[in-house]
Amino acid sequence: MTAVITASGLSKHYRGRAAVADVSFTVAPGRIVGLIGRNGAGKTTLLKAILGLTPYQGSLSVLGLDPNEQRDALMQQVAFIADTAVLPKWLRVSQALDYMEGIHPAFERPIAERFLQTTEIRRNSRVRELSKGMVTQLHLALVLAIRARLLVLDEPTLGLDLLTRRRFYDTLLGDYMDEQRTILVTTHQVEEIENILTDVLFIEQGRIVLDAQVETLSARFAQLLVHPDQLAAARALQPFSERRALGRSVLTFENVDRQALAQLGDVSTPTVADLFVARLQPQNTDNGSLS
Amino acid sequence: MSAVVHTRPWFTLVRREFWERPGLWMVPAALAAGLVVLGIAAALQLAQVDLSNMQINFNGGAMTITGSDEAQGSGSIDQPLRLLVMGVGLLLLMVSGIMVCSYLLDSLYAERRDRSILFWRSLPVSDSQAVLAKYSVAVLVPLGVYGLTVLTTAILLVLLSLTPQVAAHWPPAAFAQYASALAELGATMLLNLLWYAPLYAVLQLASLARRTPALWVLLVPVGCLIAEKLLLGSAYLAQWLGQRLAPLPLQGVQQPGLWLGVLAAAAVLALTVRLRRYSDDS
Repeated sequence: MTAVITASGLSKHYRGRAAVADVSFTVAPGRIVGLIGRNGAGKTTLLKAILGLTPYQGSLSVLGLDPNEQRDALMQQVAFIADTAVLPKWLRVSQALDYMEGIHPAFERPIAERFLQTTEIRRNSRVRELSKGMVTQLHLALVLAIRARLLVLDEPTLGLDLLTRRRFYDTLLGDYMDEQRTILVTTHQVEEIENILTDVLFIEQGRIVLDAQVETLSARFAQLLVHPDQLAAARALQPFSERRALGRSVLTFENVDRQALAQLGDVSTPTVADLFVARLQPQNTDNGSLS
Repeated sequence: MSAVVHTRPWFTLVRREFWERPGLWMVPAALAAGLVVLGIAAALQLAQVDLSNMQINFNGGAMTITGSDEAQGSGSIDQPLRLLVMGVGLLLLMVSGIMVCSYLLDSLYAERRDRSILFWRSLPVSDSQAVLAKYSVAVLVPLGVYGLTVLTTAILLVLLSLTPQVAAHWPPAAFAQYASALAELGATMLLNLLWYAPLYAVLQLASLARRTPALWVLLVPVGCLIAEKLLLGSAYLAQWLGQRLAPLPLQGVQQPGLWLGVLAAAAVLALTVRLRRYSDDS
């Protein structure tokens, strides 16, 4: 199957500073890809390039289209939730449905209606009268009813309570996802979505520092809660990260034999959040631990 | 994608603008309704006063009744019919024109101010569609206001014709005069849609400003005026601006400036479409 997104040598500079620097990756159909990085790491810039919202250097193909040149055609097959605060306050729920129906060739109103029926959102309410959680549900209803092949979510659950966040992702998985559809999502709350992700892309200072399928993480990475007296031996195996937790050292390894590690302490598979922290720790921590 | 999906992008985009700013149609409609109420009140009053030596003056759609000492002329209401149409029409067009200007000045700014641009831009609407749909509001409002004028003046005329004093002085070709006044108003309105096209386009362009579009629209011309005065000691720009901002009478249709303005408006619109291409919430 052809890739949904192919980026090659993609760069974006703001006033000489690289927000995205020479990034290459592909996203296959049917995947749920987490784009994970700190604030200012380049996540939003990368998403904007994918959505044709910002010019860029390098080559980028989304659903076989060039986002710079073919944005209008692209937006027929891509749906996008920036964050919950972007639905205009004056818009009524019924107007939102009318608008989508009048504008979007792939919008199926009955799907949105059905979803809204499971909520307490009234048709004649304005967005300003809805709670933040309800606005998210409305936005989700609009987006789920688009037969989009790619759904881009940029911090979609920011500022929402835990229950609403959980419901958001449950709905997404239950009502939207199938093998033809692809989701690209950025979030700060990695722990909450790591069990639904199929792929992770770590981005740091505009560069992709990890591009992996979640199912391969356990074979590739290992986390070692090291016995204090084995610390030197463990360090000799060249962990790429070391941190202290509960008075013991936690070392993270890539492509190191687990059996060898098991001699030195308790081995586990790092979670995506663990890996993120391990990968993006300031470099000097490693240096400090080695000295 | 088997089923044929019927979208109505233009209709939907324009409707969206009126959802966001219902004042664009509500204010002219309320004003027209006010005029009709005034007309009813005047007709009732007229029916009660002494019939002799009365003259009705039409003034901007509102009527005043003067006593016999001020009465002059034969009492024919030939000219007042035209005055009624022009008065009602120009009042409504002027008010809606000001509203359209402030609408255009905000049209591409509001969506960035409330960050809803990220929602609108997530949908398959091209920048030319978005810009032109907003611009077309500036054309549709005067057209609608013209229809409203026809309706309002027709109601007022029916009311007047029901009052005996007016009926007695009804000119012989009243309908023809009424129709010709409406035609004149319509032609003037259409002409000025073209005449003001560059102003409208510039206002919309200014709405792309990062902040305070109104300030740009005021400061840039004022700055140019001052610069001209200081550097050249002349005031050609002020003169030109004065001419350009005043409404164009029907005779002005042959003026080359009219058509140059339309071309300039098209160029400014094209520039606006281009600049909106990468405008976002930042």
